Amino acid sequence: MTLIVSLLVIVLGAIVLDNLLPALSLMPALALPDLAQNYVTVFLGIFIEAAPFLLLGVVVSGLIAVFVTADDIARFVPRNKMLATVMGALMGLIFPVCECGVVPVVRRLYQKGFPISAGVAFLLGGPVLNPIVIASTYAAFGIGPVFWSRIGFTFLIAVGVGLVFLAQPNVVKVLRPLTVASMAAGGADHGVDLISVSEIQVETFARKLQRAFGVAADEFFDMGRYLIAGALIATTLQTFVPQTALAAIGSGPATSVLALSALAFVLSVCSTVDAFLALSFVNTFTSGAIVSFLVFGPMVDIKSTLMFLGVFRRRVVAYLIVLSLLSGLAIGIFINFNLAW
Amino acid sequence: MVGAKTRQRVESGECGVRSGECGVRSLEPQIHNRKPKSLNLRSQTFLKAGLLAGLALMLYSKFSNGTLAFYINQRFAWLVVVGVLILAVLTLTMAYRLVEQRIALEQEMTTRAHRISWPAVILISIPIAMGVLIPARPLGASAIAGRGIGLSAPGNAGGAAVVAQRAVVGPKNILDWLREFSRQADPAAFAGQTVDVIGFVYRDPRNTDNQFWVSRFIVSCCVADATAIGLLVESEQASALTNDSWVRVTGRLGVSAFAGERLPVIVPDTIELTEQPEHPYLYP
Repeated sequence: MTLIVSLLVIVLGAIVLDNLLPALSLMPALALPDLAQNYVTVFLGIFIEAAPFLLLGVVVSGLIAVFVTADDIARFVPRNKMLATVMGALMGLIFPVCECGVVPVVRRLYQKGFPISAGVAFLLGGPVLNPIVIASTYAAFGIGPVFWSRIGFTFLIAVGVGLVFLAQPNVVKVLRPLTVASMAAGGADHGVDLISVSEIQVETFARKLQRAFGVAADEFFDMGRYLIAGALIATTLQTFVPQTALAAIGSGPATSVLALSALAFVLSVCSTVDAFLALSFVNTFTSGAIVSFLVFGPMVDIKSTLMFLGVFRRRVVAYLIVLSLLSGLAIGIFINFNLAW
Repeated sequence: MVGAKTRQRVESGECGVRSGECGVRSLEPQIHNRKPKSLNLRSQTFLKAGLLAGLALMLYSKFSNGTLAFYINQRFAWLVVVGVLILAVLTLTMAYRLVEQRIALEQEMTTRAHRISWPAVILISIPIAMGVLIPARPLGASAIAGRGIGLSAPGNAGGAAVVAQRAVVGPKNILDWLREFSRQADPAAFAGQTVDVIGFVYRDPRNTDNQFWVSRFIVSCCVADATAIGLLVESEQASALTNDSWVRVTGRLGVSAFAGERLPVIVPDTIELTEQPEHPYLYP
């Protein structure tokens, strides 16, 4: 009931806004110069495209926080660390999240006691190895070398980098103190469970759902600021650095890979849709560069780097970037020299 | 297993979480010794509810007044609706937290752990402010300067299976024409075919005085990936047309040159000014 009322309020508010906006936009002070206007359009474009995915991500995270216990995870994760890491890379098939959505989910899983290596594998692999992204890659490229390279190499890098973190299983050295602190509270995020365990056991489903949405809302603010800061930076670079300057180096077997990896990092386009973007480079860039773009892009970009900083220690974020960048470059250059198709 | 071990380690204070070495203040004194500063916490929650509602309204207004087409491919419009619905539910949850008394303690802890700082409030207000206060306008000629104009259709080689074989119903648009051109190396092969396209005027510095591009942006996902494409037009009227005016050009194809490259060119019968289309971008 309250839901219907509030939806009505929102619709009414929007209608009022619709009628108010033309009047507002007549104000001459708001007629911006072209460059600023383009900046606003591109920024809002990235934000509007990414926000629904982030929202879906935090809702999934909220549901995990409330409905999945640490014991469930412990039962679910194989005891063998190698197997756990492989499973982490494939977990996107169960939790279909893009790179905006994966960060809150990984953070939540860590708070539930998920192994570091498996979380890293999920972080890097999940944004590609999931039904939505596999479908969009298929739509763009069909079943072919690009499709299989993207899936295969993403899996290899995700597992590989994950295994590197087997060397450092100490959460305190890997995660930000704040993330660790909420683990101390048994993964309930704010110590609530420890205090009111008995109460929670008799909690109704509706009450649990409400708590899940509460967690989602709090998380939206924790993560949303990184999305917005990242989108601002990406837009700045895109508006002020001509893309033609990047495209000029698109034909060299190594420079093209470097260029598209850099572009992927800067553009910060969601993994769900970046296959369509890659399509527009097919004519100008080498196939190795396209694969690097599709493999490295979803793992790390400006926006997700900022979001990583909300979970991991700074040094670990640097490792994540460098390891996936080097692997992505190696794969792209290898394809260009050995597997030209 | 893993979880239990980790928790044990953290709780036993090895890492210094409790002692504050990891940079976290202990939570306990706040729980037991402090009276809830309810006004502050309430206003935190109130602020969050307001920002969520603001975002929901901004997104919904973009959807309802049609300007969503200036930002993203329409294929993803339904996602924005999903986003608005989630935001509405989250707004409600925050509003409920405001009126609920029963779980005051939990409420305080939650709000405290997710305190929203003023810089964060400002950051999150940016998309709301930009979306509401600045009149929506699609990318135009000024954006081509930084991006360059595409002389061929994107995605013909790699996406052949999906993109190339689409049957075109009605008059071909600019993207359809570029796809045709990319299948045939000789621009003269198209000479004499009739053209009827809509686009905005873009005059490149390399254009001769009687040339302009009738152009569109292609948007696969959102404007971040927008690529400009265009058809060359040669007409005496060219110099009278200003950048960004939307025109409908009808005529026949011929051959001309741009920046040293031989290209098909429209020799127009008519060039009429027209309204900006409802969907200013083309979707591949």
